Amino acid sequence: MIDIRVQAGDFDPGRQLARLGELKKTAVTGFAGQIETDEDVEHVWVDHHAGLARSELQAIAEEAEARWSLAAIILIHRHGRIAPGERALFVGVAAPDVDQALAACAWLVAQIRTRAPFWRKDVLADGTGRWR
Amino acid sequence: MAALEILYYGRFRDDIGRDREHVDLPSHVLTVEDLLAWLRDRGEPHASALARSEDFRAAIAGEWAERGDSLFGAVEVALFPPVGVL
Repeated sequence: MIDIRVQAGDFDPGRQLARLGELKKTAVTGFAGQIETDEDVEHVWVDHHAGLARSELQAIAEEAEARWSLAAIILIHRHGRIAPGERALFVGVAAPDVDQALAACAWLVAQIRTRAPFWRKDVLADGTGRWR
Repeated sequence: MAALEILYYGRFRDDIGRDREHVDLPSHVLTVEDLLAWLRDRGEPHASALARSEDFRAAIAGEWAERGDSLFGAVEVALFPPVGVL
C-alpha cells in the first residue's frame, strides 16, 4: 500500500505515524526532514516538476516494496515557500519486521534526496537567492 | 525546422532568466545531447548555465529522458539541474 502526497502545505508527522499504526504491524518507522538554513536565509523556495515528482516518488516506493516486505509506505514532499525549521519531507513505513522497516525507511530517504525532482532555493531577506 | 518548447527548472530558471522558451530546432538537432550542445552554441546565458554537461537531466513530454534519446516528434523538453532539498 503506497500513499504519495506532493503538496505545498505543512503536514503532521504524528498523524501519519498514527495512520501507519492503524495497520497493527510490529514496526512503524518515520522520518521527518526539516529545512535547515544559514542565519541570513528568510525562507526556502522549493521548485518541482509536478508530473515527474509524483511518478518518481511512486517509482521509488514501488522499488522499496520489491526489496522489502512492507505493509505500507507514506511519502509526503512539500514544494513552494517553506520557512526555516519547517518540515519538507516525510517518509513513513509499516512492516512486520523491525529491521526491514528501518532499512526501507533509510533507503527511501536516500533515494528521494537524490532522485526526486525537487530543487531548493534559499531566499534572503533582500529577495536575492541561491540555489543548492 | 521543428518547434519545441523548452522548460527550465531549479537554478536553470535564474541562470537562463526564464522558465520556458519556444525554439525552432535546426535539422541537425536530433537528440537531447544535440539540444544541449545547440543551446550552448547559441551563447549566453545558455552557455554558462549549461556549461557542465554532467549537471543536467531531461524529460520529454513528462517522462525522464536519456541524453541519447531522440527528439523526434517531441513538442516539450524539460531540463533539470541536480535535484535535492535536504
